[in-house]
Amino acid sequence: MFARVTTILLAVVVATASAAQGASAAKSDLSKTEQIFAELMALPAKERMQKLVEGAKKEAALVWYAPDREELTNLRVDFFKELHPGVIQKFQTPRVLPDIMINRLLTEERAGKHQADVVWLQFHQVSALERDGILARYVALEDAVLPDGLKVPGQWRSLGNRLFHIMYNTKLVAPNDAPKSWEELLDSKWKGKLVLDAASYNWFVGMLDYLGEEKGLEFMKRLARNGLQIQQRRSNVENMVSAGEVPVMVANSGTSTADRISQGEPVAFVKDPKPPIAYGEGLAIMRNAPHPYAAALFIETVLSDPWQRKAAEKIKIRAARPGVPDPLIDASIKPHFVNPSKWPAKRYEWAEREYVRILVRKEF
Amino acid sequence: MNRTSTKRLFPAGAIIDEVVSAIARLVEPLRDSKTIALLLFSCLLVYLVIVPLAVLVFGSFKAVAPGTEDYFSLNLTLENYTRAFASRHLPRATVNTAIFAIGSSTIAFVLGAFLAWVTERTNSPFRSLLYVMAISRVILPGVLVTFSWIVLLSPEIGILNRLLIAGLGLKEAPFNVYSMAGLIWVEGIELTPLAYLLMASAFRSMDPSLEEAAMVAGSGTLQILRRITLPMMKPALLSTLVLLLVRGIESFETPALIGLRASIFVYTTEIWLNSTRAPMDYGLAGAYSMVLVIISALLILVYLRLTSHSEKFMTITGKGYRPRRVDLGKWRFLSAAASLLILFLVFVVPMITVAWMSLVPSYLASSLEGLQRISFKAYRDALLFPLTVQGIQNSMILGIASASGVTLITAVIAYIVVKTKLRGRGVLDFLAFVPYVVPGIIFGLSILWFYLNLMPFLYGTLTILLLAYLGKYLPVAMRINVACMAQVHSDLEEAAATCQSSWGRSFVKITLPLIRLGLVAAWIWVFVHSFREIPTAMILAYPGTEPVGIVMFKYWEDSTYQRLAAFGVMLFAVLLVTSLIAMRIGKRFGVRDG
Repeated sequence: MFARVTTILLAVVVATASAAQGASAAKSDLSKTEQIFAELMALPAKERMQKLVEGAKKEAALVWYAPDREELTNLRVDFFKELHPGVIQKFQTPRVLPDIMINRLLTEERAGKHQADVVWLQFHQVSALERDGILARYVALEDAVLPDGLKVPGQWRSLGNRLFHIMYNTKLVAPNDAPKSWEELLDSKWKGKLVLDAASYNWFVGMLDYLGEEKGLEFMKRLARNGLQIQQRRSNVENMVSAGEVPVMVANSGTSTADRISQGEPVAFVKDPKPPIAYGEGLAIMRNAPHPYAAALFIETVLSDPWQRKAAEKIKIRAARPGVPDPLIDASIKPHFVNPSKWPAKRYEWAEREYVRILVRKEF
Repeated sequence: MNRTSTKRLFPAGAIIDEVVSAIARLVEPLRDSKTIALLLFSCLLVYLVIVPLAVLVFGSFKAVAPGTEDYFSLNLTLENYTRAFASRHLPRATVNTAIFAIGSSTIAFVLGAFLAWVTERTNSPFRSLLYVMAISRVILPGVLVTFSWIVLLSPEIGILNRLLIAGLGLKEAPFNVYSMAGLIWVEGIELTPLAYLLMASAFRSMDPSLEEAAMVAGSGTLQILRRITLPMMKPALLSTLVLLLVRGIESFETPALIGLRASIFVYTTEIWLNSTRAPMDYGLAGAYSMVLVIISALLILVYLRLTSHSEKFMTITGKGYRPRRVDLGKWRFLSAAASLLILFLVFVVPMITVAWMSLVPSYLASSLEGLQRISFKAYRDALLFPLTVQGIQNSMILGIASASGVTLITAVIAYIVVKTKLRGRGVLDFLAFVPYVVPGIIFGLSILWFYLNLMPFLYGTLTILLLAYLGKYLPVAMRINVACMAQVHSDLEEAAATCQSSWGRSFVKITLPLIRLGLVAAWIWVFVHSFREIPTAMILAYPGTEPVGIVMFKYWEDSTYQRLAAFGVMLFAVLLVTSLIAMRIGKRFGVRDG
């Protein structure tokens, strides 16, 4: 039976080979999209923006792979439309999990199906995608204003950033008792009362980047020894804390805690535990984006001051752009960002393995 | 066939006849329409599953992903296997998986078999209610059911634990869902409806003449069950066991939600911890999955070996087939009570918990405080969510099309496997089982890769989702139909052939009606599960073609459980009505109960 199955499998593989090989041709030359970008980048700012608007109007469409919460994605698109009414008629935002999005994107590109214009990525995914050469080089006019931790020059830039906070159940923890720093979580009074999402890699990397690898790993080991529990998926962890199953969620980010508080759930958060660790989520343009003008205009717009202010005000997300008032924390607090250049894909993958070893498996 | 009657002509029969005959005329050397039909369906089955299997098997020996330049070269490597199995965590995970899979399968098998026997072979009261409840339970989303057991049995917030502590004055919670026992219990209860569904149709189709003969000879009910009923049900029981065991091994939801907290790692959580990265490591994921493929192949081989003397299990013959029930006398009330208790655990408890969760904020789900906060807001929110209506429409189309397609394909393939001596029928049985063990993400990505290369125009359509679903849902439908087909004796078909009836005609008019209970069960299973599908849908759907699974996922990911629970309850109502209609239609064509 196995011999027969193997024969069939080989036949299928060979039959598909010729069709697929054409699609995975070498990608050394500039793509059509990149040629347009090269011309655009040579223009003065005002002229570039004018060309972008004209081109985007003609294209009239943008495909944005945005694996974020539905309502937040819609708000971001609305802010763009307010600033450029009628320019892009049709926004398409496929709804996918971040990990699935990356795999889907790679499969599409390797098959020569160039669907996406703009993709939502975290910094470490940039170098992973570089291996396939599917991201375009486009230096946005506004890239220069961003700090180092919030951009990979010419490829990726953050449109906002999130500060990690500690979420706790107010029925089980009094506000005065809540841990104000990451170090306090190591106190024995929290033993067995802490829970963490099984994939909080960004926080882990942020801590290692701030403390240094040796001290950072030592901190994580002590945290694991303090009875840290692990739960799959952030939304599950939040629900557990809200229901009183576990008192404290170690590292949460984004707006969901604030949303839960506004809905009357018995949770609160320590907004800026010391040291304040943050990470950026950002955008990149695809090398073969079918709507290059719309894609570049979108990037320029989301980095602009008015868009960033709207996002900070309405979404309550920290702006990437310096100078925009912070909706959550005191302006004097300086978050620590991971510098993408220090954390290429390989090193990030090492950190993911360490995360699993120490925090999930409790192996020291 | 004197006591057997088929209802009105099934109109599709004539069409199938015409199509088969037309093809037969075209392919002169193959004059036999039966051979052509069987060949066509076999090719269709191979077409539906071969790509994911090829990507998985071939990819497990490659260092690069599908679509990259070196992928089709013969640069093969064992490195993926070395990486996968060098892990020192694997032995422990294997032991845990064995305990978990055997434990949960045993619970599901025993409860499912008992329920199937009571509802299909006895005259216990409330049979219809029991049947509907058991079928309905399949509809509830797994994550909600698991969470409902956490709400009940968590040592911190579990309602049952609190009640017992308060009522009995205990010092600590008697139950801990975060344990191996908790894992086994939740998964066992989760699998019980599947076990029931697999066995019920076969139990009902059993000819009771041997049981009656044994009764006349003075045998007791239990003795008859042990020596007559169960041995005759061997194909159905083995089919169920094979499926339950594999399902236990490849189960991820329960081990992830409960096992991780308890630091209990099983095989699937090991795969998840080691190979779930973006971009995906196809080689590593493939190497891990090959273990499941090999286990499946071995189990199918064992199944075929144990049921090789197929005539022993044929109870539906041309000599007075009368699917009558055993009279339990006064014991029927006890059997009904025991069944209701099982269904209380399997269906009522999670259903009530989910309904409760939909009415109160998540954080009050485990307390009576929620009584003051009951509201239908979550239902309104779910209805107003832009994707809801579109998702239900898409899923209805996909569900009906995939359920009908899969049911027909598996009925024909089951015929080939059980009724013919064709060489390679074991391979077909194995291929129909493979999608069960191919991880959803590999299944979806390989389908995407294949169609983007060969038929890119299908991208972004419901058709590509349908083609994926047709492959993905073959296994359970196949096992149900194989179990039922094993009971149908060939003399009915031979009688039809003597009357000059073509094979297509006798298959549609005689064989299918005789296994119609299995067909209905398979149809409902596929239909319901097509609504729950998430990973494959997420890879293949595009704005406008998103099915319900993606809507549910958005609720799960974006908000509290309240809206997800409300959506789950609404979906339950929609699917229950559709399933009842399917059962009604199923009753209209087929064999009359005696």
